[in-house]
Amino acid sequence: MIGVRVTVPISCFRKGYAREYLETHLLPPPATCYGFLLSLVGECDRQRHIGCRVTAGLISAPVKSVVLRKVWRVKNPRPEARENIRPDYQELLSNLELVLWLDSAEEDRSRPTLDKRVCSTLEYPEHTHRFGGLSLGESTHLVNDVSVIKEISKLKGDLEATMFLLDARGEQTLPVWVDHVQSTNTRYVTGTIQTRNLNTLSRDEIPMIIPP
Amino acid sequence: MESINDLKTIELELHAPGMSPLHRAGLGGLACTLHAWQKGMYSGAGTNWDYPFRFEIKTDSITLELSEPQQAANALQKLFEFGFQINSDGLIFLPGQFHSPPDSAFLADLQAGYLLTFLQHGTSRKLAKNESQVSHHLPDGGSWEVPVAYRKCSWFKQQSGWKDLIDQHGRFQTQPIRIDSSIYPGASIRHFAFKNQTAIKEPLKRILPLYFSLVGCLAMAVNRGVGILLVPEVKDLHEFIQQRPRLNPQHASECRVLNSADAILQAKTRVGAKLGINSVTFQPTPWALQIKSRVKTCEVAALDDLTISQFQIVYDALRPRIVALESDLNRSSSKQTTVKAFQSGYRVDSIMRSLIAENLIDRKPWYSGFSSMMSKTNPNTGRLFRDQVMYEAQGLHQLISTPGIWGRDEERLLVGMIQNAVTGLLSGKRSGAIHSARRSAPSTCGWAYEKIRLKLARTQCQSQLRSLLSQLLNQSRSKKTSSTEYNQCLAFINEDWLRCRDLSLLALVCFSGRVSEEQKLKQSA
Repeated sequence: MIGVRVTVPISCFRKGYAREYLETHLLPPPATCYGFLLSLVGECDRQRHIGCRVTAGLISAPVKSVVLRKVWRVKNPRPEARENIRPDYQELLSNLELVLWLDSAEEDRSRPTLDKRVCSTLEYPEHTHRFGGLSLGESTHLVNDVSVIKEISKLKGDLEATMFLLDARGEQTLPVWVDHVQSTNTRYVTGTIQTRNLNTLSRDEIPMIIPP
Repeated sequence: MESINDLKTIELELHAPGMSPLHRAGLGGLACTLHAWQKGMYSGAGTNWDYPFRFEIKTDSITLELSEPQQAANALQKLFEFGFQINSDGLIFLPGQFHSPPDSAFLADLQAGYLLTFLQHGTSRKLAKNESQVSHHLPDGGSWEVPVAYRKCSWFKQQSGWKDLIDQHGRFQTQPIRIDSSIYPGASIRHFAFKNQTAIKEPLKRILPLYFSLVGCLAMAVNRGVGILLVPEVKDLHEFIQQRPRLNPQHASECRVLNSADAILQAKTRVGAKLGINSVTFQPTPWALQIKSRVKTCEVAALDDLTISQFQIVYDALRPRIVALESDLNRSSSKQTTVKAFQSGYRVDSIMRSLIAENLIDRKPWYSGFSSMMSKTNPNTGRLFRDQVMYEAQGLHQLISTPGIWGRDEERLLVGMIQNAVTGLLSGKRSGAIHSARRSAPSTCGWAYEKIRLKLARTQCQSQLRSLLSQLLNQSRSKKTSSTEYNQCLAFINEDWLRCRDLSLLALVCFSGRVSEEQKLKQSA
């Protein structure tokens, strides 16, 4: 299991049903974290690392604000049509400091696993072929910096984070696989958001990335 | 998500993946409806509503079991017919929400809430063209009534929602079903040019609870254009069956709310501080005037009892009032022969309570931001907030006189000192004015008061406020202030001058009732 420390100045993890007044989750859902890690290692096939477990933990306390922004909605198939643009409110989180926990023990071991690829990308970035800005959430929400915490046991003291962890009777439901076009093939898991010491995490509590 | 077992049994789990707070509230609403149905059957009152399926309500799931798969259409039809009714007055009546059927006036107020949230689109309900009227009869007032205008409803979407949940053979639908904003407000089609591809579709196990979210949630109107949807956090279905009827407003004055924070806190005072409630505000936006869009959300988990008791004090001091219509009073006094049995009134609510409720929810001191009320304009009415706040001076005076409302001694002390100072200052002005020129007497106090208010409202920094308050306290003739208290207040100003500015203006407004009364008396004389 590795931890990837990420800081993001401004971000939004939009709730699936929020199609007007774009609400944000407090944390990036596992599916978003997985997409971010694939982007980091330059992987275009989203099925490549199925079976890995990933979740996000908040180290900082982000500030939530609401802005008015431009939103695209295709009412007219002609892309230049004016009715395709409208304003709407969006919630934003500022000054996020996260640790993404990644465990690749249950991935296909015959190929390089995601945790190894993440470590090698950050250690030897010149060997990785990737493109575009690295963002967490929307494409305009670029990250500030990324670094790896290789072993949990080496963490200093009692580092606590607010994390999404699996819980059959939890009150939160977050996607581990998103159907971006329709919603029918989105896969959710149930869990709770709890503040935990990072040294006490077990693998079974971390959501697994599996398509429906 | 588990599949439906041989199309005969369906188990709806509270904590299943994909169950959002609205889904869970909907499952709670379904549990309440089934409970009401069962209660009606046992009591013999609901003989017309025999149910053609078996059901079991556990703490975290509901199981519906049919005798035959083909019974699904009949079973769902009966369930929906019982759960979504329209009474003889043409008002939406959801039996799952009440222990016993309420007055039509309450239903009319609740219907106003539904029409601003779930059922705002013309395609989701059929309403009469002309308005009808029902009235709240106030038990304490004796001869008072509050009329509520509404349009009679003859159909709403939930009534025929069962048709979407079955296939052509009358069995449970196994394909995902499209949802729209009448069962999930805000969940619209993303791209209208590609309706089929970008509509939100849900499996039966999640869409059936969504239909009953109308029962589980509480929709309330702020005014004719703004609605608040309260979504309670359902953790235990048995517990929620007991809680849901208590969530409803109990009096005519509670049927309208000021904003989402006020709605949540009022609901919590009725149900309990531990119940988590999410709220969504719906109102027209400048870019979509024809519909009420989601413009704000608020999530409030369990609160401490102190916050609820503080809100209770605030609500008692600044509660909604029933005001008589002047024309009715005149008519009843002038023509003795046509005296009405009931005098009509309308509900007037507090402006200040909305600010205080928001502060309590945000865990700020209850008076935070009061200075903005002294300088800004109310966007809903176009009037200055401070003019409206003046009508609440008496309530505010009652509020600041209640010891339980203050978190710190310094707050109470500062307010008391400022009030003493202003009393002394204005009494000096008054007596001086009476001696010098009798004509200027009525306006002197008012001008002095306005001068202090303007100076306080325009204060921009700590040193400015400190010097202003020191000057005020020194000029006054108050002998009640000890030097220890004085120094304590100065330390408080240094610590947080913004809070002190809010408190100073609050103290001034509480005092203003006496000034305006005096002016009115003098002008009338």
